[in-house]
Amino acid sequence: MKILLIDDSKTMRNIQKAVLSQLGYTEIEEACDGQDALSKVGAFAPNLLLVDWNMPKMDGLTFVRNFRQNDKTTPIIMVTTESEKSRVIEAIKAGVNNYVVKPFTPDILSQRINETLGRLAA
Amino acid sequence: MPLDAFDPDILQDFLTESGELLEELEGDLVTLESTPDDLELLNQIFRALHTIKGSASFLGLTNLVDVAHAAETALNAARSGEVVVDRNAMDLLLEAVDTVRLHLQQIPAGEPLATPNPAVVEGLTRLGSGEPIDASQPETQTATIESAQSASGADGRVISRLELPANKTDLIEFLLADLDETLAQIDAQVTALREEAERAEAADALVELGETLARSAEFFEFSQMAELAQLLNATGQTLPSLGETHTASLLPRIEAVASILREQAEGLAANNVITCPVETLGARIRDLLEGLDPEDDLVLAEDATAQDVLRLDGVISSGDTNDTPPNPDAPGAEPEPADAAPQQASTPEARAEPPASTPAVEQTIRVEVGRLETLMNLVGELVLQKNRVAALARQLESTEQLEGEFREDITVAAGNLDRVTGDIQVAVMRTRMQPLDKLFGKYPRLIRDLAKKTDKQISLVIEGGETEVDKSVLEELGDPMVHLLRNAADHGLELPADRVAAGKDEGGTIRIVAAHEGSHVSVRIIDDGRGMPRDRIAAKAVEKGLATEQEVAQLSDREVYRFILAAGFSTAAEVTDLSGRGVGMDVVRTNIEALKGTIDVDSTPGSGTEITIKIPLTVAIMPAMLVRVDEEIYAIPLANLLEIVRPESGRVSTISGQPVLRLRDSILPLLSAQKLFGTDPHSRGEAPFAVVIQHNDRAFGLLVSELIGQQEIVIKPLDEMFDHKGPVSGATVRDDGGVSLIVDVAQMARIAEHQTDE
Repeated sequence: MKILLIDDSKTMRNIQKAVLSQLGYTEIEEACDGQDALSKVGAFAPNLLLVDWNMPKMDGLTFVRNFRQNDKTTPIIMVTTESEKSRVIEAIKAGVNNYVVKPFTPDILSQRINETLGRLAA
Repeated sequence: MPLDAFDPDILQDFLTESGELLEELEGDLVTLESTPDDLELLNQIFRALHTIKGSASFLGLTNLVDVAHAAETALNAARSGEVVVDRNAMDLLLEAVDTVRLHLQQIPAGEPLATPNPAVVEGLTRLGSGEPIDASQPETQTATIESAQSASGADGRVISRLELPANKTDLIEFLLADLDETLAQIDAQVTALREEAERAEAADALVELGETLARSAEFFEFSQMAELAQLLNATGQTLPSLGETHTASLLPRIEAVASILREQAEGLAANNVITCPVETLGARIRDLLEGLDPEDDLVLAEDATAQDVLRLDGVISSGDTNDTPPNPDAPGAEPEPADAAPQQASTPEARAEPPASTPAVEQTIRVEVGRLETLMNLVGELVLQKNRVAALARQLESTEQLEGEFREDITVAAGNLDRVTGDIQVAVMRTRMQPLDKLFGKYPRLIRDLAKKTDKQISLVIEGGETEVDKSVLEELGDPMVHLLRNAADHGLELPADRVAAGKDEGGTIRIVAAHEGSHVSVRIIDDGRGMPRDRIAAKAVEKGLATEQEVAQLSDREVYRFILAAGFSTAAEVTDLSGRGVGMDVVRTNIEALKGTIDVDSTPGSGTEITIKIPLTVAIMPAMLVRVDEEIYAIPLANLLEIVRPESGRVSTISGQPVLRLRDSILPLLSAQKLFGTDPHSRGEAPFAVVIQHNDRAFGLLVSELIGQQEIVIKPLDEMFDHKGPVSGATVRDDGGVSLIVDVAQMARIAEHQTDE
């Protein structure tokens, strides 16, 4: 299970990485913005993407739109703040499969990942 | 029939009338549960429901008609003795009433009517056909499983309740807003497809729109919506390359898809997931897109409509002559319960019922509350002017300048004016008065539900429900009452086993007793439960820092019980979902005090608790005592005035530096109005009178310079800009035309209490 973590904050990436490894996911690649992520998806070929919304250079939404032009199926979970919630629908239209509101507990993230992968398998 | 076509007055009348009927109905139903053989009561309930249903069907409120009809069917069976209204039946009936109430709230809000819980409709219909409800399926009332909630219409539509995980529920409102926009765009593009010149561009747009919609639909797991959106996407990709025949067959089908999507979106707005039989439609669209030749009978005329397609492809049954576009109410209206036989039997009888069989009520005319408020304000002004005229007449009487006869005439006229104004004031106030039963009528149901939840047996006795109070008082009283009743049921009354162990009857009783007491109304809530432990409350009060141990030892029981009204005070060992969160009682107190009322707690361990609420009949006009403090005149609410004394010098003394008044056997804290209001800090003016004021069982004295007299005052709120520091609650205009501040008795009582604490 390869997961690509896209977040401009190193702290946030570390937190999420810790949560993910706690959940048993160890193959994790990091990207610090949308552009960085686009350059990495080809070689890394992730099975799941965790995307932050607010990032410099290329934000999460733009990244999802770009990414979905070539890849319609790899599940994407958007990481948002409470205040971005009203815009989540935009992300959904762009092709996000699920979302999780910061701050989240390991339980919530695990639940979201399982939901997302479960629906894909169904 | 569209709702908008009706005069809004008719709708308003319907809402008011049905609301009233519904309230009666609910009370009657709860009574019926204990007297299931009362045929007259059954008839009354049946009639009320029938009246509501009749008007609703006239107004085209199909969802409401459906649920009312089902309940009526069940009641009819009960009337003819085929079924007995047991607890399960009552649950269904009450839920049906709840649904109708919800509908009555949705209509003025402009929302589409919620689809009735199919389990309830089905259960009631089954009751109506004489079948008992299967007790092994209690899910009928709380069915949460989608399949259990699905209603299958004769036309193949399946409507189920929208069930989403919390994180997606949060987003649904955004989706709905977005869907509206997306569907409008889809409609526009689908229309543009008809024009050959615009077809290619519109098709392109549909590719994008279809894909976007499919993503949203998949996120929310609306699989059929996603499937239909995918069809739009696929059509957009292929349509421009298709020949005439295929295009002609395809276009109305795409319009049909758009109309189903619209219907589904409207369903979602009412929390319903609508699933239509679209297999044939979908298969035929895909065939056409793949260039397969449509079978002969499927070649549609150029002018075929989406409605034709829906019928041809079996989305709606071909027998359906309803040509109107699907609306959210239609699906609910379509399905007729499978076993129509008992219904048909009941319908003619139902029709025979005169439609105007409303229960006998007084002749009324509905007046906007705003007009009454205006009238009330004018009466307030009139009272002030009357006071002024009366004062002038008194002055005249004491002067010698006028002829004796003329003077007498003025006095008589002033006297008459006084009387007539008084009568008008009472009459206008009465227009705003409503019986407390309006409020109490809801409580049998509340108590029934509470009893069920707590596994207790509770009977509710209401006395004095005919007592009338001002409308605003009635409204404000609602929340505190519910809270107190919950407390009584949840904490006050014991479980049946505990009651028996304590030598009481298994069932507890909560009594609500209302009565007029002069210019006040008292409402007492009395339970015969376990009462409150003085020791625990006292200990808690000490723990919370509300009093010291020495202090509580000296307090009377009532004073100790008053602590439960303090903010953040809760002795309940555990918080239940009913009550006991520790925020309640102080809110009750605040609400009551906002009404210028008082609340009092008394309890006897082992035999129950009694809470007494006293509220003024109206909050706008009240009798007051006018007093002079140095040069200013203040008004003290007469209701709080115990007595007036002229303390001899020996009666006033100081205890630990604080002035007190010895009055007969008691010692009261004594406040100086001059100090409190800061009229003139340096004045050593005389203040020979002590006005003894009572608030919530606590009395204190207030020293004033002079007593002016008693007067009806009209309370005017203080402007927010007013920053007078003293304890005042409002202002009024006196009979001499001057302005007086009204003393805030509650605030003063706190100052007095504080003073003794120090």
